[in-house]
Amino acid sequence: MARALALVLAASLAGWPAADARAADGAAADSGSLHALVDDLARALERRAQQEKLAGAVVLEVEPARGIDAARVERAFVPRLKRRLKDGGVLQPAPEGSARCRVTLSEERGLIWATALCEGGGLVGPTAVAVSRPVDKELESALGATVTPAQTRFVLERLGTVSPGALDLALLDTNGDGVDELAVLGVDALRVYAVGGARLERLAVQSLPTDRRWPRVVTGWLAPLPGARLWLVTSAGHALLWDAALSRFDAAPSGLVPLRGAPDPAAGRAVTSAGGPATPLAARWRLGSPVLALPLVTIEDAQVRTGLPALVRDVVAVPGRARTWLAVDESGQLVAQSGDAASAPLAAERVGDRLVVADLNADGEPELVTSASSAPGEPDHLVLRRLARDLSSSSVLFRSQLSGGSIVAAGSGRLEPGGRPEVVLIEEIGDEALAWRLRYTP
Amino acid sequence: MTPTSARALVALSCLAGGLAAGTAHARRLPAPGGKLTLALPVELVGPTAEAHVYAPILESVTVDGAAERLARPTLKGFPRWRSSVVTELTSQEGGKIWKVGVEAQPVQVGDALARCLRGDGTASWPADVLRARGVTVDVTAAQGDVTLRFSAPVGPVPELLAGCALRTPQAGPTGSYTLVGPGLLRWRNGAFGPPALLGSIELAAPGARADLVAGGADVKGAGTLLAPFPDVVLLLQSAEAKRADVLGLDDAAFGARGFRQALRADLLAAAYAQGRGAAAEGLLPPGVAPARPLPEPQGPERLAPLALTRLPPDAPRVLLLREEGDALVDGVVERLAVILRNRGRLADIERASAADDAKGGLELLRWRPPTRDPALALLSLAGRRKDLVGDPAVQRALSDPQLLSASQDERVAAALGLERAWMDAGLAIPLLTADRWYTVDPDLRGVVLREDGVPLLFDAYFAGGR
Amino acid sequence: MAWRVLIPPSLRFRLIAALLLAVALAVTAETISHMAEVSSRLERDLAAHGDRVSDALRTELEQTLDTLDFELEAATGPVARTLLGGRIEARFLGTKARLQEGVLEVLKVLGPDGAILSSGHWPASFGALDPNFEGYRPEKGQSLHVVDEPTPEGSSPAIERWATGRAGAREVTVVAGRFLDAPQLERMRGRTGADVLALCRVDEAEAAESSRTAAARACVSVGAPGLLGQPGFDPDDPAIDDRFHLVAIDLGTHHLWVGLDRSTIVKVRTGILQRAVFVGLASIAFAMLLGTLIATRLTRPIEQLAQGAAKLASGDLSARIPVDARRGNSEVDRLVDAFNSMAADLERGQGRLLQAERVAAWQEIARGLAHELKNPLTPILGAMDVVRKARKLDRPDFDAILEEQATAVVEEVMRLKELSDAFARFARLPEKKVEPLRMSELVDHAVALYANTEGLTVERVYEEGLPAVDADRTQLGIVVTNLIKNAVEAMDGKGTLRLFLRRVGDPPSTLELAVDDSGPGIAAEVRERLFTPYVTTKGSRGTGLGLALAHRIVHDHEGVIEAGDAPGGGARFTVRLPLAAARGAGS
Repeated sequence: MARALALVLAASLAGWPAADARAADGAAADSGSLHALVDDLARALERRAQQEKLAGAVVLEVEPARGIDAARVERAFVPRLKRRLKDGGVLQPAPEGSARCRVTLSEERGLIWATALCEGGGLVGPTAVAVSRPVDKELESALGATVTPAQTRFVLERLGTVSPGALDLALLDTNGDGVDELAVLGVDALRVYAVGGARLERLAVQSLPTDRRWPRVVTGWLAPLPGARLWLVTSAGHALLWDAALSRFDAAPSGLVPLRGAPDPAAGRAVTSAGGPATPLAARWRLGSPVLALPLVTIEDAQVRTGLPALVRDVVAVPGRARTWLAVDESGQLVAQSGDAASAPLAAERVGDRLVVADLNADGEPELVTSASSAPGEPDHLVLRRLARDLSSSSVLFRSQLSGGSIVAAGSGRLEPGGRPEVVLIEEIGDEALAWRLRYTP
Repeated sequence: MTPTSARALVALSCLAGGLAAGTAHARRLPAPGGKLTLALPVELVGPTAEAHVYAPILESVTVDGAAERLARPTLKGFPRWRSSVVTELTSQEGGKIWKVGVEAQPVQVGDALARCLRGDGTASWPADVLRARGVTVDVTAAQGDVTLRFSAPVGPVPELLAGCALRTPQAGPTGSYTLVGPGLLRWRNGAFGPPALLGSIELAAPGARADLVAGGADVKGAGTLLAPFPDVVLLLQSAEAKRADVLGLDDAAFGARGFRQALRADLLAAAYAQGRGAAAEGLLPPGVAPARPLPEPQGPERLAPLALTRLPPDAPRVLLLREEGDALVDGVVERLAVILRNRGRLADIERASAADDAKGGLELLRWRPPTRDPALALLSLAGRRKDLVGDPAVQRALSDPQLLSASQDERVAAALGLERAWMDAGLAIPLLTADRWYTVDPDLRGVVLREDGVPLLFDAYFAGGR
Repeated sequence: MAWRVLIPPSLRFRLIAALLLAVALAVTAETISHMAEVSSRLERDLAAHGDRVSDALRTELEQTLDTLDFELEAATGPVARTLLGGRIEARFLGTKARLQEGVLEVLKVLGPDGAILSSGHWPASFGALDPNFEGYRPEKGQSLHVVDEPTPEGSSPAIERWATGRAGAREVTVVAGRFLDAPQLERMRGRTGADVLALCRVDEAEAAESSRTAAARACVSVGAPGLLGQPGFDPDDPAIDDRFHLVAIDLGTHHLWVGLDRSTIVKVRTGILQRAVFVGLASIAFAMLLGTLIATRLTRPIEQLAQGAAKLASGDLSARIPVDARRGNSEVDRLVDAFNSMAADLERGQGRLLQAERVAAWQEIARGLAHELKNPLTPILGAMDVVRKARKLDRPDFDAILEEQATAVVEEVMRLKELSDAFARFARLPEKKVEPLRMSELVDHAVALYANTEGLTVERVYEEGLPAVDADRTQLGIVVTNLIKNAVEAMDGKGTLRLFLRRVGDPPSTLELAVDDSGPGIAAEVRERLFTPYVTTKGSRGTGLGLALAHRIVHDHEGVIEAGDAPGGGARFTVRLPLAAARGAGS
């Protein structure tokens, strides 16, 4: 019984993003944002009707526009609107009448708009009404077309909240307990959290020096170094080394941005290209730049030749392969390059600014996690890809929009002792920052 | 080398580097460098130079991330606006009095706001907005803040102030750059707000080789920066032309639908705007106004082909005015000449005069809303052109107090009413939308397009090697 | 005839006029012929020039056609390929781009239904039906064809060639051309040397409907600066036809009018005319001068002749023409000499005549006297005879017979005495005593005798303000009395006697007295001898000396006495006497 319950729970947890998609058709949302939208629209219409002395029967037409699903509108929105207007008593929707109100629903820049134009029926001229509500999951599922994520054994869980303003994260073991802690580079400070259960416990905070001024593009990089140290760089010009033991910042070489490699299953830490000692790789950058200029260099400033495009947003070495790199070029295209071959695109859609490569399901092949928004204005997707052996293409294993916010940081590490590598993401939605973990459950 | 010694070496070198860096740490502030060349259309050169020489009063939040918001806080109560000049913005008496808290130099700020909102000197779209509504403003500067007293309640003051810059004739540059020669800007210290990154900016003629080119063909490797909403090509019809129905919009056999079919906006956009354009549904382009019910045009299902009839020289003529130098507008004018010829009229094509008046004919206007707020955009157009306010229904819609309401929904509704009044009166006919884009050098980063199409280069830089 | 009024009837003026007329006619004839010849030569030259210019234009147009053919051939393939190409902007703007490369100004592609698929000079006209499509027929492709090509501003004539081609499955017509607008016409005009070029549309229906100004505007015309004003060129305008020599080149739907300025001809003509007028005036002036000189020289002797003759006619036989010693032997000189000798002869002759007349007059008088003497003598003789016989017979009534016969004798003797007195009076006219006389008083005085005669009406018509006449009162009184008496006796004392006193002559230098009676008048045969002595109509009672005396007296006063008919049917006797101021002025 408990087992069944646990299974159900697990299934429901596993299927939780899908459950989101199946909501909203009928019962669930009599309260909530759809109702609020309908109510706002009806109230605005009634107020306008009273101003313009319009009353009685109106012919109501509702048209879906950008980003709105016509069938859902017919099913969910129109009956609610008609009922609300009837209850309101000022305007009576009717199939025939002299007055006509046309309502258009559209989604723009994060808002659902309902605009209505009424004419006829004694009105002097056409009169318009508009209401808007921010898009949330409920409205989107009630009215918008959503993507049903493919469900496999990858599980996405919330870890907890972190302070907002995260720029990058790194997982490293700061206290030697064999489990990685979550270090988050924020706008104001570097914070270290312990991951446990459903909560994050903050272990340490180190404020960033305030002698820098942030440019418009606020970004930062955080890379773990051997010895429980972190190398952090921000677009405001911070270039610092942090030692967990010493709990202080030291200066780091300026002009370089540390990169994170996939954790070597054997070494467990950063990897080099030439098989030498694990030294972090860095790329050059200019002040304020979120884009990195190759060639890569080692910490000793030795160049590492790759065949990648000269400018990239992120670059990782593919673990287990020599001289194999994955990168996001500055237009958001995912490219792979191996040996002396030319770089080739791996995916058709744009991917985001961060790449995480890890072998989550321990099949010996690394998976790739990207955060991407497929179009401007759309929320970010977490996309998990399997890479083809020859790195000519990738296929999507898992996709999720999380809560519909922006994915600002991603990294991989082991959150359980002896467990498989997992990916941790930080999603910001509104003023909140949520930490998620993505792992594979067989 | 053993791992230990390697580690030690790394640590040592880091320490050494860090020490070396550390001692110079405080001195090594970001230094500007590099030169950027811009090729802009003539009408944008002046506003671009001004945007960089004079600090903007308010900036809208374009990247909405918590990190950005923390790094550069927004104005209290106005989460979509931040400013390097204004610290606080409060309204009293329902929007008739606004107090603008300033960090420094309230007199200069007050002077700049007064010039901007009243329209003395240079053209200013906030002044056009207030003029269209007949609202006057009284600006007084006191210690620490500037008070704006309007003659009627004004809601969207941040949106209006975003069209203003800290510019006074007696004071010098207040932004990140100073004008050192014709079309040449150089970085200056002491700007309001975070310092810029580029050392100098050169404004070149349109068509010149430049790092940032307005328009431009698709070049492999170059990036494309697209403005958030397109321009709208509008046809302004004078009362005489409407009475004579030169376009056939009231003709049952032709009508608005026939006109749209005859115009072939898709082909015009393909031929003259590199395909980045479409037939315009309403006066407000998508991106400024949400989707909305628009008037259903009357006319035939399929239009017969137009005929280029041979007309005697004394056939009735229609005056077509337009600004010169725009290939798309010229193409539209030529197509209008074909439509007019089909309806038995010859076209006299002339340059539009500075006096915004269609002179009894038709005028083509490539309009770019100066702001994303639809009500303010339409009001700025009404304030700029006297010939658009003649109709009584339009005047009724213009006098709707909701156009300057504090609530965005009410403003949008009122703007839609005004747009509909204009379209029903036949004074302004939307023809097509045309995107505004820039072809960007692949190394250039950090360019932000303002609503009016001006590229803002405060945080622009060259990645890698320049 | 009017010219008689204008030209005084004087030989001099007539000569001068003739000379002037001759000169004027000569000048005019020369001018007209010169002008006509020069004019016609210039017209011929102009016509030849016009032919050359129009040939040059034709050649230019042919060359343009050749260029168009070449370009058309070069363009047809690529244009058709462009149409098949994918991108829309290539289709619509490809022809425009091609236009800008070459010499073509019109390049368009039409579909099989006449819709414009692509137009180089008006890219936005895609999809519209071309109005000239019907003209683009295969057979017409070879002729010189000018069409009205629609443009955004209206239409412009263009010279075009076309060819059909295939773009995929569709058959398309490719049209290539060049505009024949004002700048092109100006270039052609400059190259060929025409003064005016005008390209006019020929369309009978349009010409009939539209007004003249519209027809003028339907022409595109260019001219050398200053030649053409508003409203431009209209071939039907007679003013244009006057100013220019026009040649028309037929271009199908249009005519190309070549105009050569006639103003040189006009200028030359005007020049000739001006010179002719100048020369004419000068020669008229010169002729007048010369004529005056020559005519004067020629006509003066003739005038002198005329004057002399007039003087002769008026009685002055001493008139002679002065002879200039330098003169030659011309006809006029011979005439003058003849006149002089004739005048001398006349004078001499007149003297002899006078003498003879005087002799004849005395012979008349003597005859008359003798006759008159005889008349009374016969009765006297008879009476004496009777007396003698009576005495001889001793008749008892001898005393009575004696008394009777004695009375008769006395009567006859008295008559003889009267006759002698009259004769003595006639023969011995005393010296006149001249004094200023008022004729009116004289006449009144003379008429007063008859004032109360019954049956006699006296009318007096005196002019006012008559001046005095220097004359002998007594003598003139006799004259006036005689005249009045004669008039009354002619009327037998019953009728109307009219008396006129007036001034006559120009200038009025003569006093005229006219005495009209209402009698039977004067018989024609008597009139001639009326003033000779012893002519009397009064039968036996008149002496016949009255009128002769009057004639003598009047003649003595340098006057004239005439007899004529009165307007009323009777006789009129007219006496003319010079007025006081006019006397001595000479005749």
